[in-house]
Amino acid sequence: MKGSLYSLLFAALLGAVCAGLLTAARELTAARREANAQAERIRHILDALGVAYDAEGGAEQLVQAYEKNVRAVERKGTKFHEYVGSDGAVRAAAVLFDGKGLWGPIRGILALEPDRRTVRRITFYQQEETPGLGGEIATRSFTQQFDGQNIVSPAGEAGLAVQAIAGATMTSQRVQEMLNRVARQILESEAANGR
Amino acid sequence: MGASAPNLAGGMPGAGGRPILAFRAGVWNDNPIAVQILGICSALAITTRLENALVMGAGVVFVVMMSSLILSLLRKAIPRRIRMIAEVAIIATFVILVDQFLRAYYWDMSKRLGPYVGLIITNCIIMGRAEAFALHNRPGISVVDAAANGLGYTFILAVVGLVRELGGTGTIAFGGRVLLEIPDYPRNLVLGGAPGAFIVLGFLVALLYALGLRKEREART
Repeated sequence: MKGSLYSLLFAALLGAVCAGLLTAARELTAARREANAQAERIRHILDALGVAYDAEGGAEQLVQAYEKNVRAVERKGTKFHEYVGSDGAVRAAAVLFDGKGLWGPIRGILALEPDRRTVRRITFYQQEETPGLGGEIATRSFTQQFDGQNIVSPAGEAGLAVQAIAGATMTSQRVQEMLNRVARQILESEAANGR
Repeated sequence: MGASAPNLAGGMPGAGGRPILAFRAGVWNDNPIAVQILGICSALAITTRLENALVMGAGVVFVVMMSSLILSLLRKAIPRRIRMIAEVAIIATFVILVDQFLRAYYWDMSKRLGPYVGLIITNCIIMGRAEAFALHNRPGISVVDAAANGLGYTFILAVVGLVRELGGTGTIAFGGRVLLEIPDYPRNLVLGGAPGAFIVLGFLVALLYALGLRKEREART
């Protein structure tokens, strides 16, 4: 009985010390981790829009490049990141999208040409799909199929044609749903603007 | 050195008090990967590149040293019945610290290593050293033993990573800079992929045995 009480006390004390250490570490690194995650998002947006930036520079350079070249516009709940050239014309627009993957969330960016219909490039910057199967969505060989596609099909429906990955039916389906959803969103945001 | 049967966990009683012997055992005679075949999952998974292998190795060296030190200091206080839970709690704490550190200061590396940093918790080497050595020895020698095993692990990972990166892509890159490049190298998908890890590690272990690893083991027993 005495042994049990000691074990219990020991476990409680050890747990408290470990938890305290981890909480402290989390608090201390929170600002840096958040800045990294933010810079990561900005880098993906810049990449998708084709904005040139100093790849060796840190998070601050990325934020600067973003603020200098990109304008964020919200249209009916859809946020567009627009690449505005020095002449004031929009050169590309990007929309962030996300959805459920097979194992975890999938996040990506859809970059459009200035006509807001033609896909410039799609990138998936966060995914936890099965490596070698669904994980292939992050590769350029998968995403280049979208380059130049119109987000409105010839039949007039919003959506993109996805060439499914063999052996990754679930991931492919979910990507298809995600892309159709973001295509619809883009169209709706414009309808509200009377375009 | 007393004669002892090959000890899977490696903690030779005879080596307990002598840093040199403990060090040699960890790096060579009882190399955690080549001889004990522990910690194989991460050795296979992240050795696609030399840089990944070295950072992973550094993480394991840190965690195994710190957890062995703390566990050795606490060895008389830890109740026997819950010792494994205590081991895991302490190991997990250090692993999460490493993970947070990488996320804050080496973001790109943290992304490349993915879930494998967190999986250091389940790396058998670390718990193996705690169970077999740190809980029965003084802190100083425990840290030496832990460092040796971590370095033994890192050494194997680095060799496999070097072979796979060079053989798979024809280049060696470090910190985003290409250090070495074989011109016109055709990409080798087998070496870069999972089968390559098994093949390279298998040949490496065979080579180490051919180089005398087994002789030393036999001489010892």
